[in-house]
Amino acid sequence: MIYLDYNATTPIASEVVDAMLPFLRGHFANPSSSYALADEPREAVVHARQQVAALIGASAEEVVFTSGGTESNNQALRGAARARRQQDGRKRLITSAVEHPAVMEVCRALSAEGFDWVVLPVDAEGRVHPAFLRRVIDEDTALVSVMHANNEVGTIQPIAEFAAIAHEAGAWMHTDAAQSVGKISTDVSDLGVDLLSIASHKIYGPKGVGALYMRRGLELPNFMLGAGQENGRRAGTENVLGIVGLGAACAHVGCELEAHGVQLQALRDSLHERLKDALGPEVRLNGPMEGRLPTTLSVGFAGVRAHALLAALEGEVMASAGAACKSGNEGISTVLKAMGVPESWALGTLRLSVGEGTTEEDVALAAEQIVAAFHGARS
Amino acid sequence: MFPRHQIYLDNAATTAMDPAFAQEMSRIATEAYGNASSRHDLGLEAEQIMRKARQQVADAVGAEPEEVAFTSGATEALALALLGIAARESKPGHVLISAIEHPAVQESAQLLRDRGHIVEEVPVCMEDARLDLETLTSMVRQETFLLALMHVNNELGAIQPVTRAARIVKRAAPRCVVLCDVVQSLGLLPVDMGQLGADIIAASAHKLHGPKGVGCLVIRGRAPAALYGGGGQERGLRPGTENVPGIAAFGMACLKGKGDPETLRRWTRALGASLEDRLGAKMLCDGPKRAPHIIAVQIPGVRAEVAVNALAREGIYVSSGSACHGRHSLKSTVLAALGLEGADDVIRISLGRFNNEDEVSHASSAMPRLLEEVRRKRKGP
Repeated sequence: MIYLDYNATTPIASEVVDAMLPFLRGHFANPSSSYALADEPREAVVHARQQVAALIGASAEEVVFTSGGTESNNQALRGAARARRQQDGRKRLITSAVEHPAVMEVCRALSAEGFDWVVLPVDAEGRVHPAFLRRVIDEDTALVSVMHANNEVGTIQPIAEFAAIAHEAGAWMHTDAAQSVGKISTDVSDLGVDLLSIASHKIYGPKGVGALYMRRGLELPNFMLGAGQENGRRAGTENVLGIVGLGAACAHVGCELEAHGVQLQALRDSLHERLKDALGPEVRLNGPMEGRLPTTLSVGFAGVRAHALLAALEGEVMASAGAACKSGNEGISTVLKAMGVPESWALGTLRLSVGEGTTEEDVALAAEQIVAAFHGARS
Repeated sequence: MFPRHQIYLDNAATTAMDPAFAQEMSRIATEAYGNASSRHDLGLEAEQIMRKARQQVADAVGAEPEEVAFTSGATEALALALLGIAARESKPGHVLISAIEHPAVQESAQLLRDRGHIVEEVPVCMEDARLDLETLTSMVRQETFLLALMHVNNELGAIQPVTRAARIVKRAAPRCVVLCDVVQSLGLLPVDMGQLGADIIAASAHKLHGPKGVGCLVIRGRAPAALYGGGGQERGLRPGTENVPGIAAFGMACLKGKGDPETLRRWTRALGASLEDRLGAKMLCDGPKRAPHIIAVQIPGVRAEVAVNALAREGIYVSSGSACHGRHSLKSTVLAALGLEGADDVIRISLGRFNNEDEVSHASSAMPRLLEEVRRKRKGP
């Protein structure tokens, strides 16, 4: 069976497992305990924080560990919205139309609390244009949140430009980097962001852990209250094992990031070429040719339903029709809808995402199987 | 489990992971790594693993699997319950919490105060640190919409009269939600939602020889509003890609528990008695209503911090108050509730499934000796 669903989640890397094993088997003390037995876990958390910081060009004290990308996004949005309203009465939140539900749902909730949520459109390739942002940003804007790279189609957004525009208006800039970290360069100074979300399980780390980068000096109200861990920024006994895993995963993906990107892109493009060669105009790319995550291939198939394709591929290729969290319901992805992808193509779209374990043989075989499934579904 | 020279007696802070859970977590993380929301084979396998764990947790607390929502730990579970239940109220109302709740409850309760709710603390009886039911009866109002009462206090081990407290508040305020933190009791005392009369319970895996970073809420009846928005996992109550290996281990942990209550009670009493005999120390709240695995001991003339360090140097690990206070030297509100405000001479000894008779007998002779030395040094020659 061929796994082409790396954007949904990744297998854990062997280096990550190696780093975690001592903490699975021992070093279990609560980092908040005062005795020396807790030194090892406490230092492991310090080390992991440095590893995360190094990957994104931050300082260690700017990294807060969370339970995952969803919590990071929620903390960033809710925290920034509340902080800015309190500080200077700003009430506008600006996001793109293609954000993850962990951003969209928070904004929906915040708009019910009186925030003014503005959604920026995307073009046919899923890109948000800085001009769109300029048009709606104002002195009332608390936060701009645009994802670094889209989870479904892979479009990379010009975050640095958005950050400059946001800061000019006195707003903060957040980016959900769950899909971009470890795949393309994601440096907080290059991007100019104030807040950035990371999910461990998308970068060959364990599930149930993530991080939020908070630029130095930024203070957000915390909604995970308790005994004051993470410098009072996130309570709860530290998930030492998971945190060690996230740190190791950051070190793992940070090493030769560009070279890996080139390899993955070659595999992805080979898959795309093979599908195009076999199906010609009956396959259609969603997203841009350039400026796309090297791992991601979102393609529509003419005249078939994605679910029929996936059913035909059962036992052969594992992929998804859209984002994993929406796998259950058949409907048009909001991302494809925002891009204006015609309904017939959108309903026949597969997201194929490659990763570390993918080989040229895998993509060759997967292409054949997908083509066969397509013909089967059409007949 | 531990090298001969290490005797871990701080299981109320956290516990050593069961090797069987570690092995299963490692297997799931490497082989069954799918996203539980994915519809392909790996996703379905992950979902299957979650379903089994959910059933195991539900069985452990007398609930249905669909009543279980996994979280990143008890702190999140408690925050979700408190803030989420309050968010369902159309106007500010009245909340009661016991005076000895975990900081996770106290801090969220403070936030409720900031949001206009009236939050009052119900005192405990000084002799046994159990909730003062008479005062509770006088404090509950018709508009009380939440009572937070832990099952077992983490610092003293006092078992709280949850069933009776629930009955009292429901009589006066039928729609009041009873929230019970069962972090310390799960896997040791019978925890049955129906019998406790709790509408919501919160639990944590790492106090049960499971992993850190996993916990749950079990919710009967009206669900709290979610703390997060996201991809709709855990019926929308707690979105985020599920920590499948951790959840699987939590399920296993519920089955295996914390050890035999009678043995643990005998051991904690032996440890406490050894300090009483040789140091004139005093076991706090030692009685039938003390949880078997925790004993707090007041040792006159020995500062708890000094005691903890002196014992740790010899490989015996206990704590001064709860771990969460360990490095922040917060004043223990629990001791204050017992009338021991500012007491700095109370240590907590807490046992788990991996302790054994040898460790207990070694610690029973070593601890009084080491602490006697501490006291002698302090007094000078």
